[in-house]
Amino acid sequence: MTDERTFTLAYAHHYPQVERFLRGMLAGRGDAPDLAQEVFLRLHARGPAAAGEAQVRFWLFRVARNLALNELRRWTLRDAMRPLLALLAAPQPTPHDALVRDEDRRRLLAHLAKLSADQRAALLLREWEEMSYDEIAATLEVSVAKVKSDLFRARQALRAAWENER
Amino acid sequence: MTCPRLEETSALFDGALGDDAAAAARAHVDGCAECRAFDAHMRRVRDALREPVAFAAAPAPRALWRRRIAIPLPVALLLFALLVALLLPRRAARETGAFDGFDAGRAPVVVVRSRGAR
Repeated sequence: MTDERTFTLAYAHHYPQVERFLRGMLAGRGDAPDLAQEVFLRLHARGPAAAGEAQVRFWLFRVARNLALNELRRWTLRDAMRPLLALLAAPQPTPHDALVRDEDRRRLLAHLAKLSADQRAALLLREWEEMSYDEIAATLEVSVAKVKSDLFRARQALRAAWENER
Repeated sequence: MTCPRLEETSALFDGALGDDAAAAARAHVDGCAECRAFDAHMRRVRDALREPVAFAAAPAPRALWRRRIAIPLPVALLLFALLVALLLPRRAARETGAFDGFDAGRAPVVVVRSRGAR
């Protein structure tokens, strides 16, 4: 269990970033605030004991990544069940897209959803959290070489998607 | 043609190369149109992602499918099967004439009498 002080500091410093990371990872396919709460519940219940600030940060994003992957797997099942879902619940309009004004960003976010989860996680940690390759590797528990390769492939894929639109 | 040093250009963009490697990569990018274009693309992605509000609020999931009360797949399939089982006999009954509805030949007759005609 994480002590109260570490938890309070972590919540104050990292909650918005963790939630944003989850939004990026889920790309509209889940409840990011709900999962972010879950990340911090887990931190409180069984987070790293006596860990430094950096370790807590890596731990938070690692757990967020894992929860996002679980959620995305569930959504794959739900997508398969969509015809049934349509029978059970009437569709409701979502204001999501209307609020995203910037065209470049809107297109980018749509393409982000098509990247592999590994590539998306690496790119979001790099661009939003401004983590170094070593920090991303420590967070995602992968090699620095994989981080380098995932970032490159993510950018290549985004570029190809962007150019295909033209 | 694809430049074989594009991945290095990506690492350079992230400041992930050592001093010597970075200097060599920078010199290459200066002379390589493809790497310069890729650098511009990476910058565009970064700018777009780092806008102050990168995400609008995500849509609220439909209440029925909220994560905490989502129906597990086997249960959902069972419910669906039950629904089909309940609906099918009725439809079959309709087709076999157990209930054949109203038709023009047997429309109920309504007689209207005027009180003044007695």
